[in-house]
Amino acid sequence: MSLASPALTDSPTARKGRIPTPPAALIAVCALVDLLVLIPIGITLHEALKDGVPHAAHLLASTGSWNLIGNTVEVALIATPLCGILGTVEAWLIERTAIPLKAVWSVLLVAPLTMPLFVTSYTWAHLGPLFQGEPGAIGIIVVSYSPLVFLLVSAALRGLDHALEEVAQSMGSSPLKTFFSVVLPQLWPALLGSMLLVGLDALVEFDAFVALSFQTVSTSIYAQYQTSFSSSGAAVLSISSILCCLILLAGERLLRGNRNYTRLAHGALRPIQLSPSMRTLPIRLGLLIIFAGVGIALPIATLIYWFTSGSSLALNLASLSIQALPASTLTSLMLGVSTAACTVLLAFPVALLITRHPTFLANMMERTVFLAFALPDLVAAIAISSGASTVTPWLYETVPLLIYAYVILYIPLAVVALRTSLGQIEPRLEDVARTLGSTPLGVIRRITIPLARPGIGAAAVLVFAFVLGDLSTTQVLSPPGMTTLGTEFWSNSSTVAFAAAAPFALALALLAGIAAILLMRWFGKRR
Amino acid sequence: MSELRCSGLTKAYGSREVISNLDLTVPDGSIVAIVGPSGSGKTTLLRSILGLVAIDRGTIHLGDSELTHGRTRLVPPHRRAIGYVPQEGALFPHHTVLENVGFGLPRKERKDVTRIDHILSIVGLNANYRNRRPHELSGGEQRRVALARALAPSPSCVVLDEPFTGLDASLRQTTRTAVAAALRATHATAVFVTHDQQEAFSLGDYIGILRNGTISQFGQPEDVYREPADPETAQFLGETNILTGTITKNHANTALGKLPILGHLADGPAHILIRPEQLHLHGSARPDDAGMQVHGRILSITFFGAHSLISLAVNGIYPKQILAHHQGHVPWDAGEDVFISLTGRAACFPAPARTPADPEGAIGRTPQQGG
Repeated sequence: MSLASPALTDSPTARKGRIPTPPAALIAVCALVDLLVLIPIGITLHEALKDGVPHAAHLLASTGSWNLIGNTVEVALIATPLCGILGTVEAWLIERTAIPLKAVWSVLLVAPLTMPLFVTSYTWAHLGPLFQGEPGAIGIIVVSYSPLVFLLVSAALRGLDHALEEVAQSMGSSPLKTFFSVVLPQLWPALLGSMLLVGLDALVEFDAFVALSFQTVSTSIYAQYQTSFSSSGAAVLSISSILCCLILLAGERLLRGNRNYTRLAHGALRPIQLSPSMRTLPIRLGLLIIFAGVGIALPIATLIYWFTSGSSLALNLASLSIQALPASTLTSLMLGVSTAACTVLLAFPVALLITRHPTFLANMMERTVFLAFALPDLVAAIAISSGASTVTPWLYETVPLLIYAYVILYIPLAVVALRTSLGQIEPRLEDVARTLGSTPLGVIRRITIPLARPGIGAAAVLVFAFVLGDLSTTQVLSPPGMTTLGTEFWSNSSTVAFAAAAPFALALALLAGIAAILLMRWFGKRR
Repeated sequence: MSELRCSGLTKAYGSREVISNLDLTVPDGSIVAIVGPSGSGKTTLLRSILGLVAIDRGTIHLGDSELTHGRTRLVPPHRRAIGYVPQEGALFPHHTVLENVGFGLPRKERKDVTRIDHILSIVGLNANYRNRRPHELSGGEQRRVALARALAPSPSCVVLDEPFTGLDASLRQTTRTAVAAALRATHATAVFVTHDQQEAFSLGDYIGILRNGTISQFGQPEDVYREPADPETAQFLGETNILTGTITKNHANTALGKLPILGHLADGPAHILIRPEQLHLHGSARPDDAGMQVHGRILSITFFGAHSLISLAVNGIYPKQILAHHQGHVPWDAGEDVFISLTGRAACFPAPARTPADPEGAIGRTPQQGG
């Protein structure tokens, strides 16, 4: 094991020239996944350019969209690094310092991610002007997506060999200097990967920005769509978001350079002895209380306040809502579980390809999956809806079509979670299984899947939580008459009494809490 | 019949040829140790035998069937029936010992406890280990389970990659004995690679020296040790003194004295190899057959337990140091002068045309004067 970067280079598949050629079947499956992801983008581009490129360019220039694009990029540019810093600080506090009740704190830190964004943003919108507009938009992205950085960076931190830090310290490097010179370079792939997800999400975020009345490309696409009922203006605007996405993807690739994703496959790591420093404990606990307070306690407290302090009229409405609760909960659960299953199934081959055969082709195929984040949810949903209504009318307004939309929207999350987990499996174990007579598929069934179980669980829970937190896709694509917790919350929150919306929001928060616990149990496991 | 034959094996990673035109024949039922320094292509050789890496040229046969022909893998890894014991065992962490050992068996036989227990007993483990998890085993136990796992499907050939690396001395010895016994008991043809000469000597029926991607020498351990093909191999296999001298009538004349040589070499200048254990040190003069009395000054003594390694300055050879083994207690200290006599035969290699011998005058002072 080389001292400089044990986690990055010292494995057979990571070593240059040892990349086995990927089997054709795996490539074919991944190509299918890419195709599924590209369909809505293709439809949107077709829509945008059907009147010719000059027309599209004219539309793009005339709608004052530069301002909107500026807003969007600004939020993404400010929020993404903040998420990176916050998530890394959180990961460091949990993984590298002695904190009482660590398991509880990690769940509280992850919970803002699983909490539906439209619920959080709605509570923020009612807290005052400080939480609205651009500061609110940046704030909500930072609070809701920094757990993504926290999750991936702490997983990487757990896999680092602590001995390297000890060596650095023994050579007289201060803890802070050690972090920047030894730890951070090794966390870089995980940090960049998670920040890419955050940046992509920030570019296309819609529900939260509507609630906080902040104008971005996505919200004005919605406005365009509502006012003109012509989707071409909306489609033209979304070209800008596709371009931003491509720039981000290329930027991350450039920054990451030739580093491979963190591999953590080198036997048992010695457990870390954390020195319980009483002097800094109050500061560290204080930070955690602030993070968890803003992230999760604030929205929950607001919801409970709405629920309990409404007028009698509001309470009547609330009791009406409670009657509708079981049906919509069941629908949400059904959608969440089936989407999670489908997404993991499709993301697995992609993650397998990129971790086992990291060729240029594999890289391109994996990057293509991230294009799923190029379109704002609403645009993707509209594209799928219009495509289905003309090409496959039998799928129009059906649950499978809705699940398809969810799958392609959230598949990048699943790929990231699976990739981390698959990267931690020693390739030699799969080799041994081959020599013991297992076919390539047999190896996946008997070795890869059982060992990747934490990542599979985490991917499923992550997708499940995002499906619960989805609003726009559901509204566009759900079969008539179908209600989910999200749509119920939305329709009730737009009426007079928030108390009526609160039961749905609380149910969502409860499910989000369970999801956060499961996520930490699977993904946050100490190996 | 399960003789393993590799011929003309060549494998390059990018522009670097890791294995070049390698020929190796492992006789049926024998244990062959492939020994080579780190980075000599040992693991690549094993992985090509297993079919886990594709080679560029050459063929691999096991018994009558051709496994690999050039870039084509005629038989995929899972149908080769070659057992594999990777470095550090690589046991499946999600399985118990029972499930690990049963992994390669047909589904019906996987839970056959008596069969698994029998295989465990071959590697010297009792039935109590059956339900343990890999992390509950010691390093040596993990290697044994890994071997049991490889032997369970009764392969005709087993390959082992550095099977004893990372074990402490006593565990290494017991594990080595257990592994050797198990391989003998199953009559499997075995190839193991190691960078440790001791391990290769003690375990292999034959040893092959892997240097620069090819087998530079193959033979029984003692032959290879006594008569290495070239000075580099000699040095790799253990401490050596390589001296310049001349050959006359199958005898080597060196500054240390005269020795009969192994094999035949025409008269003339030569490099002469004398192992440290061929040197005997005495406190008083003991003239050899030719009446020579060679003495040297002890520069340092390194204690190894049963023997000590003594480095000496000898007139005519200095500044090159001469290494000698001394069994048991060393009655001298550094700085003392001792007399040297030689036993056994010397391996020798023809010297290049020009004689690179140390000129006498370059030393400047003799051991007696200096120190």
